[in-house]
Amino acid sequence: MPKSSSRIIMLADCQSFYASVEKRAHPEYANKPLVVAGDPARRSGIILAACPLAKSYGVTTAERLGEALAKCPDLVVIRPRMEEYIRVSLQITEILQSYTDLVEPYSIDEQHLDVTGSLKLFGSPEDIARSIQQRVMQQTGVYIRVGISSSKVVSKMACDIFAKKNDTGIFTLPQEDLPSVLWPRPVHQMFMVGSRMTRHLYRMGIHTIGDLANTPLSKLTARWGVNGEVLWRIARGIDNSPVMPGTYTHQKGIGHQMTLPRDYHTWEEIKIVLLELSELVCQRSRSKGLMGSVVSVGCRGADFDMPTGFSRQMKISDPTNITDEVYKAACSLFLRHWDGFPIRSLGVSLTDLSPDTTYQLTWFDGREKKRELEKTTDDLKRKFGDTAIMRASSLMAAGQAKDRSHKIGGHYK
Amino acid sequence: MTKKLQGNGLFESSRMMLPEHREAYLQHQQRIERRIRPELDSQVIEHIERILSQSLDGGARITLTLWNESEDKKLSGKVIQFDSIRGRIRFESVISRTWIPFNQIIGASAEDES
Repeated sequence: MPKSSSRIIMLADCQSFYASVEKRAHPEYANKPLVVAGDPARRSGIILAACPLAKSYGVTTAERLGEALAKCPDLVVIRPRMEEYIRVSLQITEILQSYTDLVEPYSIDEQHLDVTGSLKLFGSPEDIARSIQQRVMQQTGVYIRVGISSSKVVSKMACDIFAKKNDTGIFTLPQEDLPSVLWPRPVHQMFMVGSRMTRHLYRMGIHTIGDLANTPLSKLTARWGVNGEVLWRIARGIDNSPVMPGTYTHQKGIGHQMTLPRDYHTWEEIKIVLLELSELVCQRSRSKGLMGSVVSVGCRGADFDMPTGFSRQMKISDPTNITDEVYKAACSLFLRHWDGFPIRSLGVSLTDLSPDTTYQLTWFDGREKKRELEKTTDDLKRKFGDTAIMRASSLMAAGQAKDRSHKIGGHYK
Repeated sequence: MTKKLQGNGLFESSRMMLPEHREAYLQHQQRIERRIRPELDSQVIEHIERILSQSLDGGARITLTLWNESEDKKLSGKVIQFDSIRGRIRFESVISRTWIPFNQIIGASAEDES
């Protein structure tokens, strides 16, 4: 293990990512305020990203399109293209990988990189950051902000709190500068502190990141356990997390969740969606050559102020990736725990995964036949698209398969 | 038990990755990492040999899995000639006849008649 202070870690963050990609794709809007919104046809759609020009009118992300249009009637509204954003994000990953093989995406618009071993080749950390900024701008039109330090946690704060606000978009925050630079900052700006945590901390008399760093650890762990220690360590910049390109290879579970277009009240409607979700989960498991032996089902009601819903799991007798079997388990779980309240979001997942190359043969259940059938439908979908072959139930009003096949993360592909 | 204090736990538990992004990233990583040719078990080699000779003798259509640096390829057709001196087979698919070196073949299966 190298000494933590000897590493050079960066966080590269994309400014207004979706909006920047769209601005590059539509040069005619270069000098116009532009937003990417969930569903441009509906004023209730949510703003997913706003370009700096739109933000200067007071438009913010996550507000409703109607509110944004009230502030800025000339707003150019674009519908999201998630596949394109994923492609550009990977294009940026590839640029970062030309400086070091240690690159780890944290979200679609943030990636960590460890350039400790690259300094001899590419110059000082700031040189590398500037070079990254230039290349990403040239090739994708996206402006990158870079936080630099000796750990992932501090590089993230260097980026969020400082690099996003300065003129160069680059900020170096060495570990020894934390007391003078980071600690005077208000605690709500710290990584992993949300609005609820801020309120709790305020009540304890903790207002700055420095207050938190100087609070006895025992006081924080007594209140929040491990999470208290996590906060204390972040405030002090104690973090040995490696930049791990392979972090996504070991998969714990395969799950799908969807938010329904309206409340579903009846079992007849809900079970159609449960089948679609089971199918998606199993299809992905099969394509990865995995089976799972624990099925979980989760759901949530429509009224977020009065939360209803549950998340339960059960172990099934034999590991499986056969849709029927997962569906059967999901149904029995759901019926056992559903209180009859309307449902707005539903999810199914398969965990405790094992390779599907070896499995127990069972008698009398026609598993081999199902396996062959599903292999064939998977091949059809891979070749001709997800809607090439569907269950008839998905054509009912409650079915979501067709709509979902046009979307990623609930937004248009 | 939470693993936020160990390894990469803090970032693995807090990151926001779309499943589709994750899949695309994994594919991207696979592309840049050089693939290694699998070592075949002697039983697998025996199995492949059996399928190949069945096809040569009886003209059965079979599917070969061929190793390639970027990704495995599947090819279906039948074996029409063995060239053991040069270590290759002549293979006839619907579109063409080609020579395939033995060491490229990492799997073979008989095509189901059903």
